[in-house]
Amino acid sequence: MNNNNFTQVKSGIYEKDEINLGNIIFSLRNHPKIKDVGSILTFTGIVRNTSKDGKLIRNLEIDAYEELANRSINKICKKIKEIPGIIDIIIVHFKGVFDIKDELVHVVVASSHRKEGFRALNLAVEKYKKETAVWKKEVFLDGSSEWVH
Amino acid sequence: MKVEILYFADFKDITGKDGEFLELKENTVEGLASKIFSKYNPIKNLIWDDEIKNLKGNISIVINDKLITNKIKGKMELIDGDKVAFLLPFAGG
Repeated sequence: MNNNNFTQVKSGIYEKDEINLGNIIFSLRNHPKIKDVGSILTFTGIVRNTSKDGKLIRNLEIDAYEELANRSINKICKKIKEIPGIIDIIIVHFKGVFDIKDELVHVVVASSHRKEGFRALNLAVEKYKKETAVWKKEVFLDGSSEWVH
Repeated sequence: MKVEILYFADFKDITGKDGEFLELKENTVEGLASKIFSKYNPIKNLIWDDEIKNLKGNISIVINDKLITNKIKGKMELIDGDKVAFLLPFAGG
């Protein structure tokens, strides 16, 4: 693989469609310790067409306190990288206005073996949901809207 | 004194702004909150608990990008130039 002009994808908040899952995986496959990696596991959150209570959604808006959110995401990544067998993790959360099926977040874990990778991926997803200064507004088909808390 | 207030999510919808500078007479978080309530009354229902005369328990406050965990958030003092945000519970995608 050619590493010339290669820039590592950094975890954090990005504008919608600024980067994609392929960019993140490419970045991890260029990791200096890639020879120790046996699995790359990914979680992608996308926009569902219903709210938790079943209301039909037209689209979704994501707002973020970027300084705070970036700090929390980096803290989560640091914690996950301390787990034995985890080589690297990248968390990318988008902000902006999204349609149904659009990608909202990617969590990608590179690990030596799949078992610790799955555990780390699950932990990272649970943590970013609780600890990252990001909010979503559901805009419903009837034109009403609601921030989820 | 003047502080900068940042608005996110519900706050942005209510105010129609990302943030603004506000002149305060009282240099506490409570003083800032009452200034905001006088300009945007719906924010009071969002963040203020009349029974305990303080910010609701689920409201976080950030001063100069630092999350404050002090329980008596309302009484905290502010200084000229502080950048402040009230935050509702997070909900990522």
